[in-house]
Amino acid sequence: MATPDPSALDRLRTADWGDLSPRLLLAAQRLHAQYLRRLPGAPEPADLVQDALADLMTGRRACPPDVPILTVIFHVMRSKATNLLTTNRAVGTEAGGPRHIALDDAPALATPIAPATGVVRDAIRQRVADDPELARMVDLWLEDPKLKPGDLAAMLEVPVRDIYNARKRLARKLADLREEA
Amino acid sequence: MPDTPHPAQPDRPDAEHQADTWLDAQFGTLDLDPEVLAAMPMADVQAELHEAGLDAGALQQRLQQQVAAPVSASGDRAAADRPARRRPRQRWGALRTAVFACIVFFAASLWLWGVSEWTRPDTYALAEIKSHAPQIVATLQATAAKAPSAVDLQALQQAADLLASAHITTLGLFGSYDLDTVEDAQEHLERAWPEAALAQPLSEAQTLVLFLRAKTHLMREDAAAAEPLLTAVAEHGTAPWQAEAAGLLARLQRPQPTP
Repeated sequence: MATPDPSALDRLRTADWGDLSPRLLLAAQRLHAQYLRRLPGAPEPADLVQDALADLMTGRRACPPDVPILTVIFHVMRSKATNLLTTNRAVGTEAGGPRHIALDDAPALATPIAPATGVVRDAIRQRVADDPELARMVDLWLEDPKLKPGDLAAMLEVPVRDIYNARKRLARKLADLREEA
Repeated sequence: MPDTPHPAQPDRPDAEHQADTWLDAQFGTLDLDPEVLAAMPMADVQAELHEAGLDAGALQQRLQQQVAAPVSASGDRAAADRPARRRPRQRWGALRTAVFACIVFFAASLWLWGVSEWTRPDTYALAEIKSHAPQIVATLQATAAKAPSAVDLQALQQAADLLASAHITTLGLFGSYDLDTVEDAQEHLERAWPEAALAQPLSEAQTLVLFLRAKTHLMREDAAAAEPLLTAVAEHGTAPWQAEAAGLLARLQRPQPTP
């Protein structure tokens, strides 16, 4: 059995929970919506956070000292969510029929985003042409869709918050386009 | 003019739809990125939570309790929030300990009972003789100090009764008090004991006192002094001293082999 890591416990005990709790809950809510929404008996978002914390405190999951604690807990939560999903999918496909509700319409796990080609690339660039920062991000992503936000921010020489703001602008833009259509 | 097919429509609407889908998916990855989550303004975080009907304040309290509380062995979620569930191995461990404790307790009780049963008579006799020995010695001392005609037969009877109630093996305790006094008292008893008492059926106490006196004479190799006492016990005493006295008397009266 794994043993608790004292440094992990120290990090958890001295964490700024006023800042961390809302972010973790939001992350858990998004993970829940992404993976567990259709899963009967799945843990609620708050339970997901507490389960992840228990795993870290008991040493079931490693807590790398050089990774921010929010990132560590987030990855544990995502791992638990995807594990639950794959486990229940396996149960559902056993002989004799599914014991749970069908999960065929559950989201795929880490589906790679297909690279855009030809006219679609032009259409993508056209959608963001009026926002230079978005356009630069899109250009970089069209070259390498696997770029992480941190890498993007470093390449654009902007803080990660600008990436978040660009995402918000894009969401608004796409919503407007849908309304027009 | 025959209808001619329309020139090929540019697939613009389809391309735009694919463009929207691509952008949505690519930027959607940011929603599940911890770096972006960490960079989000708190106001936006709170607004989204509010929209989803989630309460971060309650969770913060639970998380702080969770990290402050000792971690349960099961590593279960929020040990502080709910009763700990024992794993099967723990339950079996507890049961095994309980059974072992019961066996040890039973064995210890049995041993103690056995020891107490084994030692009970002597322990009882010791306690009894210890509590009464001073009284007996005092009576014997008083008897020794008096003339034979002034011996208090009632007090002597009481002392004899006490002696009889004590276990015979513990009579050696008198030695630790004052054996000379006891011997003096015995000599007085020999002189003071009324002849009439010897003729009557003896009480258990009288039997015991007479038997002890006879044994004292025999230890001093004074068979002549011992014989009448043994005869009295053999004829009028109580069991088992009656049989003991008869046996001793028979041995005394047996013709001694000539060297």
